[in-house]
Amino acid sequence: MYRLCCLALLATCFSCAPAAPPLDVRPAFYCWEAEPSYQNDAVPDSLQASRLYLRLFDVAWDPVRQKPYPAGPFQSSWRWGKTAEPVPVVFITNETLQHLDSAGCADLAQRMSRKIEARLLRLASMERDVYYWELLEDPEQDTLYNATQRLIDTAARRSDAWMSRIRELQIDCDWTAGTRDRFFYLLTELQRLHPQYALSCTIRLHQFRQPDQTGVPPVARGMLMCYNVGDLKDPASTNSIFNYSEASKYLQNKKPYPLPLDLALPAFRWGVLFHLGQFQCLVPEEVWDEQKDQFQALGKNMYRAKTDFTLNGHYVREGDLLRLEEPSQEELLAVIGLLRRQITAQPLHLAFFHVGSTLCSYENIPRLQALVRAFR
Amino acid sequence: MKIFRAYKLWCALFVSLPLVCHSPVRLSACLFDGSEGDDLRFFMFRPDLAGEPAWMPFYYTQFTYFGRNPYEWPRDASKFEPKTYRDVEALLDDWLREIKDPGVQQEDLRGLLLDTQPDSLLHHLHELPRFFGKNTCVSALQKPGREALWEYLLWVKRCEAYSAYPDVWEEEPADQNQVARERDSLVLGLKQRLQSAQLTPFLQPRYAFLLLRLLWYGNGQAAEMEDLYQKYLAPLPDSAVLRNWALHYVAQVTPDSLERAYRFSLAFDHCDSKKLRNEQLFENRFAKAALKLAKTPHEKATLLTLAEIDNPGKSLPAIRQIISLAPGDRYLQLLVGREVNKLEDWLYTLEYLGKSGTLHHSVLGQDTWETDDDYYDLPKKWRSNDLQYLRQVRQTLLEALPRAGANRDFLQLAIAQLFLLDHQPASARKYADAVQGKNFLFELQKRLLQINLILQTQNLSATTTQDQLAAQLRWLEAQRDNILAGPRSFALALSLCADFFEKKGLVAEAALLRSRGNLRGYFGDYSEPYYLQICQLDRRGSPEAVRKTIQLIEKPTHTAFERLLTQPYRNAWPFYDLLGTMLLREGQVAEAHAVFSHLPADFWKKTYDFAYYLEDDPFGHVAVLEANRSFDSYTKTTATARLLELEKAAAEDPAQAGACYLQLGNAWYNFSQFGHSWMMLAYSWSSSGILHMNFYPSVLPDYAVPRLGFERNYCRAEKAELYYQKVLRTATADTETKAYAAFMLAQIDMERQQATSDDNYRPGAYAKAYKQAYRETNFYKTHPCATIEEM
Repeated sequence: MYRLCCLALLATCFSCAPAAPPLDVRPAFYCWEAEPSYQNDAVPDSLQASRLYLRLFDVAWDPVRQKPYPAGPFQSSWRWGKTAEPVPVVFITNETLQHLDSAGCADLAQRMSRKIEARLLRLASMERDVYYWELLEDPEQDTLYNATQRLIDTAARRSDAWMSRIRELQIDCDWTAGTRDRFFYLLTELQRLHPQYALSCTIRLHQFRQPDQTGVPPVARGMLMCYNVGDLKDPASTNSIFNYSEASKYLQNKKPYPLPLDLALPAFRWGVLFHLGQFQCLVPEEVWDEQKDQFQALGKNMYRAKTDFTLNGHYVREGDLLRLEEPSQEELLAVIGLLRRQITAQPLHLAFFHVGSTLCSYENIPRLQALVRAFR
Repeated sequence: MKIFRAYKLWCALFVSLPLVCHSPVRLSACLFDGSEGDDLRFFMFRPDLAGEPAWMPFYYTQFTYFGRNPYEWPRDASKFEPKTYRDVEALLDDWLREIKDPGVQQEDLRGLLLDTQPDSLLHHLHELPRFFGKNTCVSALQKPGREALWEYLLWVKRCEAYSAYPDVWEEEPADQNQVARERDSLVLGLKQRLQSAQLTPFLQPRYAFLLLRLLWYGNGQAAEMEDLYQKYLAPLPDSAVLRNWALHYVAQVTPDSLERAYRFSLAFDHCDSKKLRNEQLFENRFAKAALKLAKTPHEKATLLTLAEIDNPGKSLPAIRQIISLAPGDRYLQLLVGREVNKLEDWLYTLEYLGKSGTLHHSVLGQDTWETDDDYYDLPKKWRSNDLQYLRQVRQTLLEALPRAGANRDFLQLAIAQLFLLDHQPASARKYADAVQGKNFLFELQKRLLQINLILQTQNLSATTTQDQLAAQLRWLEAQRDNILAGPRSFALALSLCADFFEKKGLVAEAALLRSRGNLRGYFGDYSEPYYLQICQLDRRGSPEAVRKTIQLIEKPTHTAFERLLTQPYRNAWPFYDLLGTMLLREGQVAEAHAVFSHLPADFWKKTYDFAYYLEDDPFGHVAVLEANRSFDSYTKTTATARLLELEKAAAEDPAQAGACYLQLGNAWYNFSQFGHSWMMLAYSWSSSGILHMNFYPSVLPDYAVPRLGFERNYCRAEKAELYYQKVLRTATADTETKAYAAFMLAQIDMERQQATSDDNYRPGAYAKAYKQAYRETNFYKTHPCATIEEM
């Protein structure tokens, strides 16, 4: 409680600081689920999200065939909003980069490029179909041939409009000093292949903290990911998704980061299961909500298994410990106080990760709005 | 032009990629990748003992995750993937029988039917001799009388383009209407073909299957698919490949959940090439109710197996049910193998991999982890429950043995392993000896049992015993690259041996056994080859154990067992360095120096990363005071020699004592985690919290004893603190020197706080004393205590 009060006080102090000019802060959301459910679109609309970051696919390394492959393709019939700007995102594992030489990077860029284009066309056609059926179900529409044709044209126009709203392409990768050159080369190639899009990439906190060591990617913008700050597998961590004291260590940078930055904040939760102090698995929030009765609360965010049982494919033993992690609103507000001095890009896209979590549900909109207001 | 491409078999075999892509993919990007696999699960009971490669995805120790395994899989891990499956082979045999041409090579048929891209064939129909001239199957099908077969083959290729995506980078066309129109056109054509009276009994079900599959990809027209199945495919014998492949698709559109589950179980049973996908689609919750549809005990056993195949918990009730229904059923081997592997994991993973079953307070030390006192007894309770469960499983298998039929040898091996896990070697030997079947996998399993039997029954100090073990381990080592999970099996066997040797007090042998296995990932945070040689003794050993290891390596003649252990080492130098380092951590400088003196002077220049962290003067240069480094390089020998000289000078010349103690303080500060020469006492450094870095304190409280010096002098810089305090107490030291020492005491206090706490630094007694006593010195003027000044 004492700590929270301090943080709240700190947040208040920063929010009252006169030095920082008002920012044009635009809410945005990451849509990270491979198969998002339809009912989620109310939240971005309610918060008037300016952008939706759509995970198109991932690129991983196939150790058996020794080549990169696209994984986790995005499947959706969700309508992606009428005005929000879609930003396609492709995640590439650092392991993939470790295996590539420059020719491999160039080849991968070509493959990724073709896949991105094809997938966007596919999403646009889904968008068109959804609009078409929506229009057709309108009781005031007649079903004569010409009217139907008009509907098809309207839907097609909207689909084209959806495509034309895409202005940025984002690449997500936790690159390291060892893979920096390869990643930057991949980015350069992708930008060459997609001159119509501004290229952006995600920036982890350690990359933000040490641009001299990890380099500055050759992109137009960066997305600072202000979460996953702790050691997830460490039983002594209190909250690996977000905690102020860990995050603040990375944000004491005196020099401004050499790229204009947007910001991603966590809006998700999960459980972390330990057996004998050893990390076992992550427990998705929906699984936790279903099986939380199998645990007995111990303290702040700690739970203990009451008996042996199976959880999400893992055998939980009586007494195993689970740490339920979610970002605290007070700590997020406090870190915004720090970030407010570091991030000055105009406009600033403040993205919440991710739609689909209960922390991005309709009931939590006021919390998200408070975070946006705190930044302004 | 290269016509044939080595696409993955199942892909070309109509199990289309989109199906596979729907399976869960655990990549995370912005999120942590939660899939840890089972990297550290202990097993000595081979999960592949049944000799069914198609069961590989269902092993408890999941060998399908080749890339995630830390045990150095062979580079060509793909060689352990099944190259072909029984159902595919049966399909090819059907074709060969139908073609009736002894000149047709099976590989050519496989290449044409399964591995040739549709475009490669369809675009070169007018130039077949040029592109397919060497393919005996293509040539045979061009001969008179085989036109119908060739025509069907062209239909296969036309349809394939609409029902499979051979390149994972290809995307579905954006214009689905166009695709649908083309698919509808093919459907129409196939229907016409199917109604043709001229179709042979060989081709008719094949056209029906093509049509059925195409309908499925056209969003599953259930009724039509069902009609096709019932009319053309269901009448085929149960073993007919196409009947069962069709069942895989029909099951997916079957509305009745019990019938659906039953059909998936049949397809699972008959289609090796589609086992994983059928298992993924099978809904466990309907398994029990679907039993009433099963017509034979084997069908019931298949349903029960499917329901348990991914259960990470106890499956004994299902095993008992299968035994009561069909004790000779083959799937019993899959479930029993999984159960033995589970017990091995639950009972011994922590023990044999060096992490004992007691909870360390550091796991629970924080406020949030506080719990009842009985929590600390939980591992004992788990062990007791698991042993009780092991005996129940064993008893069940023993009762099943008289009726086990073809499962008899397998069950005897399983029973033997369960007796060994329960430390009853005599009974284990009885059942191992009773195994009559002779195949390589049984031989392998018997050798693994033999290793365990030697460990449990013989005197491990005896040379004869050790050499027997060496023979078994050498045999296993020779097989390492030829058997599935070979490196892992070898490493785990070595770990098992190490555990027994350790318990007998043979610590040097134990450490070398573990190192020999190169069990990377054992502590999770090391992969440096140099450190891997010595990490076992650094973390678990004592100076005495290191001395014994050096003696063992330096023996002029070695036994077979000793050769096995010492083979990786050209000399004992890394162990001399470790021994000296261990002694130095404890402050035994003279002893450490004597040990370091055995090493050549350039050892630290040429080995590991020592040169980077020993190349600054630890005595005169402290980085927090001066930015510029000295580049006076030291070795561990010269550094310890200098420590001894300074100590001696301080004792002999009181006038110099203050300056000597200051240099000693600096040296020990620089040897600690806060200084620049930290490799004097440690082998790695991390910014993520030193206490969690070097000896992961999740379990094993016994780390505390051998690591006391490490804790005190490396983590907390206590020796440095001691010498700086001596400077303050030395009457002859001048005020500027004392100010320097007082500053360093405050610095150590601050760094300790920052290393162990997330809270902001609060100046302690040292900082206050520095300000109060030395603020008038020149040293203070250039190094003010800013934090104190702010107070």
